[in-house]
Amino acid sequence: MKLRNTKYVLLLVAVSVFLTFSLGWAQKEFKLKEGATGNLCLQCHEGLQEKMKKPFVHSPLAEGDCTGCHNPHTSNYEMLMASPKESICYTCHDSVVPAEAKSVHKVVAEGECILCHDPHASDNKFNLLKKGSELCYECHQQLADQIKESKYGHPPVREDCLGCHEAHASNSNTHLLKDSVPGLCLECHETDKATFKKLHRDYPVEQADCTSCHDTHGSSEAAMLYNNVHEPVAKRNCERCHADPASSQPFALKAPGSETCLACHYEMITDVLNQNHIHWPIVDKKGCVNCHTPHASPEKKLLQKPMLGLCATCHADTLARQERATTKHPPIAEGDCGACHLPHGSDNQFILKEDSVIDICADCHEWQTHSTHPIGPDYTDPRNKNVTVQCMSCHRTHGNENKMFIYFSTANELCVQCHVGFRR
Amino acid sequence: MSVFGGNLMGKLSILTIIMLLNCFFAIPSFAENLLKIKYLQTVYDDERPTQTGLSHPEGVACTDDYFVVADTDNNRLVQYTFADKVVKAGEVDLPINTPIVVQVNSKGVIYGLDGRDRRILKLKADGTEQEYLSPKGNPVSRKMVPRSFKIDKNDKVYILDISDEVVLILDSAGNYLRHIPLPEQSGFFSDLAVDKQGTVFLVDSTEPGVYSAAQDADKFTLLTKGLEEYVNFPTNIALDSRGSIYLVDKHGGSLALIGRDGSFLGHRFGYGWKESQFYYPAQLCISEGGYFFVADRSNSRIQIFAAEEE
Repeated sequence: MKLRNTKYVLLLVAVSVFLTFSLGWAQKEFKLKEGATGNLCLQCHEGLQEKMKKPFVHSPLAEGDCTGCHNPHTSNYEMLMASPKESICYTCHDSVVPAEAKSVHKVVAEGECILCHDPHASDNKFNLLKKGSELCYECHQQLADQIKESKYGHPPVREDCLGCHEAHASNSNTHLLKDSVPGLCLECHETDKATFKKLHRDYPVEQADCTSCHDTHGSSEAAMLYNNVHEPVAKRNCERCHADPASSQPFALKAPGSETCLACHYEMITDVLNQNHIHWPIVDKKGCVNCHTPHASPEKKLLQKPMLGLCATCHADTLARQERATTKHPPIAEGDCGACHLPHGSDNQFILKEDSVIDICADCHEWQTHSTHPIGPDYTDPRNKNVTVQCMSCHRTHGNENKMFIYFSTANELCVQCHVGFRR
Repeated sequence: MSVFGGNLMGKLSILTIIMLLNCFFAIPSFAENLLKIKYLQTVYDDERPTQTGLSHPEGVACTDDYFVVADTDNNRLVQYTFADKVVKAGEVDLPINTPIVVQVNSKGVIYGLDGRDRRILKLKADGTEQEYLSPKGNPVSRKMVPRSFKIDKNDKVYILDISDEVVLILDSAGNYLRHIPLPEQSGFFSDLAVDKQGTVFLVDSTEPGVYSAAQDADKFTLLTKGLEEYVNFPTNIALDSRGSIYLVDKHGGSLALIGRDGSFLGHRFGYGWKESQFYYPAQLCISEGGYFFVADRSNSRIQIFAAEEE
């Protein structure tokens, strides 16, 4: 007992000594008058005095330790911060993000703590700028609209985002989730009820990923399914693709890869498989589900995510080129890769919709097909006798650092590649 | 007395040892950097009276004496002799649907990957005998989908089967020898290569990287690090006689040189339409004698280069 008391006393002494010395250090470093720490700052920064009346005040400010964050004389950083705003909070709050975190809130990773917290004082707990979900909606506006407008809402989501998500980082789950899916869902949903089992056709969905069908943030589809539902799912006809629910592997597919899909989409898939140039992921082990989700999706055509992001999963270099581009090519910028390419396969190079690049470009740039530099099969490219002049002879369609995505920084430099007689 | 505090002879001995060690470690990598690839010539057509131009050729196989072109959009394989650096086209076209990869074995048998039916066609140089390669005794393949394939000096066939996610190794008669699973947690594999020691190399196009599996190894390990910083979309891999690794960077229009240790050593050539430039190149073949044949797909031509020590 005595020993434990001694420990507490020693700890208290250590903390007191630390605080005394840290304030003392500040006083000593800046040669402040006795008792001037903090108070001196407030003589000029009157607004802060008012702010300090708020119920939640950041502890260094409450203790008068302005120099914990600011340098009173000079600084290389805005607001006379003692170190970069991206890292200064971590000086004290270094345990906010676990070392092996599986997911980290983007603003936290970027050190943008002040997007959520007031560094001085606030009316809300944890110095938050706003209460509850309203703070999250400041950035997640689209999600906020969905949550508010969806016909079938998810009550915990409407109450508070922090019911399911961590604010800063999640140690072992994606999407900042507090627990894994379905673990998190099973905290509220009782899967052993007869109705639940019947609705899920006796498949052991308590072992599956609920979010492959249900939109946890709410939906206008019954049962909170995503807005685009695969027909067999909508009709609860799970057996069309999966094994019997009573079998040893109830979620096993009846056939591997694209062959499962072939049963219904026979004509389309057969047509694709007979194209000269196939999009290879279609025939790999995963097949169609490389791009499509088999149950339900917020995206049309049951795409896993919006087309641009989906294509960029593999073609990151192409997307990066577009992002660097001085002139944006609208179909790419708008995420419509299908404006020029057939995503399954084609008889044409680059799995293009048409054999002629000029014809594809003409869908949007009709004028340029007849009132422009000579292009087409009658005009051989002077640089290479086996190719003819077409749009891509001068423009890199996915973009580059030059205006109008021409291959050179000036039009003159581009033109003299072929018109060598005009080279200066 | 410290090491450097001895007499002049002692200091000189130490300096000599250091210099020798430097040379020992520096020379191999220095030599790897010094390979110069010199442009020789370009093949645009089949050199027949009709002069049918090559159309988007995606494949080329080579020896020091001849090469075979997968003339993709013309649905044919075209053979050329290459004696004393003089190119002369053969007289027989070998028909095949959308050929995208072509290889030859030590006996002159030609293998072409039919891009439309995704099957490997074996045929004699005169086109008299043809058959599809059908692996015998294969315990893993459910429905083989070859994305690419290569043939080694012993005529073993290495097939990159993306349906079963394995590299399938067959003997020259098509009998199953063994397989190596493709690495997990990777992107999409487009091609493979085999060196003289039987080490298999794989190129990942979408998460750019090169993997290797030594002869008899049962799995691949990542050889390169941070390759995505240097290449765009590598779709083809080839090795020269010294074992240096070359990647065809399709979207970058260049060849990327990778050291045996996986380090990036530099690019050769670049994007464009002129000779010595590439526009969405597809396949590279390097002959034993150091000739480089590039199927310059979207330029509809084959470009030939010779490697020289600087």
